Amino acid sequence: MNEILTVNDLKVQFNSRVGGLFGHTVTKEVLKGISFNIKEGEILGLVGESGSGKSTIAKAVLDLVPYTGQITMNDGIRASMIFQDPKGSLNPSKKVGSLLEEALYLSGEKDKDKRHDKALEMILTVGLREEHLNRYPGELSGGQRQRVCIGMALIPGPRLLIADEPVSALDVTIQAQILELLKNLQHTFGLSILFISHDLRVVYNFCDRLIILKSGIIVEEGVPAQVYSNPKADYTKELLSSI
Amino acid sequence: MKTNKKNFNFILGIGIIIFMVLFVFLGRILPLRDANAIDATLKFAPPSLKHPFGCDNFGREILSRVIQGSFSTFCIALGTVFIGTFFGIIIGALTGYFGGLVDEILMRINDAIFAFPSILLALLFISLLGPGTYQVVIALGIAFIPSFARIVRGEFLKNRNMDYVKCAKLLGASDLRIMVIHILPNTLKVLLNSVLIGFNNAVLAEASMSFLGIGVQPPDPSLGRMLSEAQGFLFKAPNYALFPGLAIILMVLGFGLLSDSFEK
Ligand SMILES: Nc1ncnc2c1ncn2[C@@H]1O[C@H](COP(=O)(O)OP(=O)(O)O)[C@@H](O)[C@H]1O
Ligand SMILES: [Mg+2]
Repeated sequence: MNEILTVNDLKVQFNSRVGGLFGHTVTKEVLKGISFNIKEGEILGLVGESGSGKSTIAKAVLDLVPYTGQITMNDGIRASMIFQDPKGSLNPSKKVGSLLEEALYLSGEKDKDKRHDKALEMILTVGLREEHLNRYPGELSGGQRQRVCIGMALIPGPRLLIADEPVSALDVTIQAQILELLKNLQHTFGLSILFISHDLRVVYNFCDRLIILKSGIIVEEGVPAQVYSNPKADYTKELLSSI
Repeated sequence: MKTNKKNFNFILGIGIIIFMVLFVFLGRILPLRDANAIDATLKFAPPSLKHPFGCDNFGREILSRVIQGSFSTFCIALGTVFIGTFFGIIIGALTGYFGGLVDEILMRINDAIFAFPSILLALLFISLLGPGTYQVVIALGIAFIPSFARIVRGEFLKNRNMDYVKCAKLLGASDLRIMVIHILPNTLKVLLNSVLIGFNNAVLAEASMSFLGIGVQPPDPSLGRMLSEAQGFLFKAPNYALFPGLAIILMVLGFGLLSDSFEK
């Protein structure tokens, strides 16, 4: 299978100033040399505790933070992202319909009628109904909002979807529904997914392969069954024992 | 605040504003005497059926003058708030969104200007521009820019790091598009509130400036001018000061109640 994304020796550090005028700059190394790849049609789980650098990996891949190292995506491949907090990632002052239409416009659909039709098609694709186009994000439940976010992410026609804790803010039953939706979409559109979570339980049935991150270093990598039954790193054992 | 009380404020505020607007526009349609027409025989005529608000020291119709004056005051306040909001949005959006050195410089200038009371600042501009109605609009408008810029900047600063903005960026939206189409609508609620408060301040500032004789020029009426002219006749003709005073109070009260009802 072809690699769709290859990350080699990825390092990210943040500089922040402490103290006022006579203070100094502190450098915080968040990612300390990360290498991994995602293959075509694969779901890769990225697990680690909060603050381990998971979101930073996602941002680096999408060029939203400065980094060193190589990130290679196959030519012409687009990546989309679903953000951690479905509340903040939808503009509160726009109806779902215009959010989707704006995404379509930005993806190059300049015909207004076609935008409307495609927005309707997308809202149905992510398991909502036509009436939801007329709602504001604030009028939707967490699960419905996340469905809209998924729809927005699909509009540019991505081959790689980065989902940053897409279900962490949801109830367990809703989590299962969203995971099922993602799995279906992955089949329909032939997506590769980088699935980020702090919870090993969520990843187990969902991912083809997983990597475990601790303080900016990958400590374990493998298929879920193998990682669960025969963890190599102490940190993984720790994570497993807390389930 | 409780919703009930907010609704009450909203209804009362809207009611007062509608009343004032009707008062001004009906007054301009009805065949009243010209606001500047002098008639020596009517000097200090008390309120009566024929002259509901009475007449002033030149025998001019106070009703016509209050209507005309309210209209000028209203227009001046509108112009002032428009200038303040328009440039305030541009400056606030650019500084809040881009940050950096431009932000630092503009905001330090802003703070320096903001440190002066806007009426004092307006007086300073008037001393450069000369007295007159348009000059007052420009002077007050400029003096109002910093407070609007500050509010808009705060909102843009808050919004620019939110995920929905990153989302739009990933989809390829330009900075201008993000500022105008994505962020600006989210600042409108806060902006509306400050527009209403700004409107109040503008009404009061115009009244003070005309009171000091540097706003609307005689013989044209403005509410502030009328108050200032009525000063000498407070005991002789209390109606002369009462009605323009009442008009100012109603205008300020109406917009004040409305802005209260929009507060979070
Ligand atoms: N823009 C930033 N500036 C400074 N520090 C940051 C920034 N973004 C993230 N960090 C820090 O990097 C670390 C990893 O953050 P993040 O990637 O969001 O972790 P995770 O998603 O695994 O919870 C945290 O300690 C966080 O405080
Ligand atoms: Mg995170």
